[in-house]
Amino acid sequence: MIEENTTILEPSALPDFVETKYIKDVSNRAVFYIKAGFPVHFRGISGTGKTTLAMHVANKIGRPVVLIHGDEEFTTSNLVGGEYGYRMRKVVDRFQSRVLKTEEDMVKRWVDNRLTVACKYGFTLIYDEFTRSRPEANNILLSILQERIMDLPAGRGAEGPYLKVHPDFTALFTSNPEEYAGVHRSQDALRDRMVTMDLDHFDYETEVAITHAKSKLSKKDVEKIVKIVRGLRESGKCEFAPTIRACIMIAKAAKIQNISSHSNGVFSQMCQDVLSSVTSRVGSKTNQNRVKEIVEGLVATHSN
Amino acid sequence: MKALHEIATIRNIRSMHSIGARSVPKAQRSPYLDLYTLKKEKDRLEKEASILEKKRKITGRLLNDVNKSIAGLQEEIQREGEIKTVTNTKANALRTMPIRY
Repeated sequence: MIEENTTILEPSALPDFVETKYIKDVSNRAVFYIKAGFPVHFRGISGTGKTTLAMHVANKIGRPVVLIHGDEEFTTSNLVGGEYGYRMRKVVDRFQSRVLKTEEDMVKRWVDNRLTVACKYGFTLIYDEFTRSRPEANNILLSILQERIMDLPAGRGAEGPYLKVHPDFTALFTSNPEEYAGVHRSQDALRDRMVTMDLDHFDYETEVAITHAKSKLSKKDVEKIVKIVRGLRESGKCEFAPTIRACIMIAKAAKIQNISSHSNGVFSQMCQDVLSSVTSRVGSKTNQNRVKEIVEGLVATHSN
Repeated sequence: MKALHEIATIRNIRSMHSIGARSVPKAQRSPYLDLYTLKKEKDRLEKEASILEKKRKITGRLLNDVNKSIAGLQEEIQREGEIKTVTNTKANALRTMPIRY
């Protein structure tokens, strides 16, 4: 007997989710590729909205979602399923009172994992940060995406070694090409089977809209924060460019402390704290000082 | 094909009494003898009626018991069927969880 120990997700947008022209454009293009029968891969650095866009596209597709987060420890059985425990059956037959007839049977219990369930029922698979899994664990995806057939171990029993992939099955992948910790290179064969959409930082309008929606800070203050963060990003002098998360951090902190962007001292200090921490991987003193100097200049420029 | 109650039995054979045939010539017949034989016949039929009544009661009771047993077994079979259906669908029923982004 095959069991399915999976929870399926129903994505829905938060009330503060904003769909600007940029987001609408990217998500619409992704839906078109999906409709054409190709899986979509959102590739971009941290803070470019890959996972949220994947969820949004999945929501637009309208099928239940199965979410997998790439992990170094993953093996094929973590995706496909495996034998977990035993099932024992014992029959004691006393139909004839003087005859005792017993029958015992013990079989391994097969449990389908998330990928198999998604392929079987035609759900949307979101494989977040798939390059964090070892390439050999992702081999199973090659035949699923091309031949629309899934190879399964013989231990699965009754339904045989092949599973025909449901026509509604679609896959959305995300990966970060610049991440250097705990990632593997993606297989050429796998990348070749999907449409890769390279995502960059959001445009100014989207960054303002998202930061405003998430923090509820005044539009004017949000615009100033976004300009400072973008200024630092475009300066090209930091080790790691600040993302929209930095804008949201500063805006939320300012909202909680009720600090306006006009109160230069405290506001500038807050910007320096957040931006020097998010732009450095190791936290060197030289980098901190350099960032603080730039931020101070940017705060002064945008305050006028 | 005839049903069981349509088949002729020993009770359907005509007897001397039922046809009123007598070996005594009509002129020598006495009403006392007729009275005696009819009384005998009445006793016999009354006895038979009471036996039949007893038999009817017993049969009714047995029929009731059998009907109850049949209904019980049918219910049990239906319940077993329902349990099987539940276990079969349980494997397919996937849990759902909302996720907000």
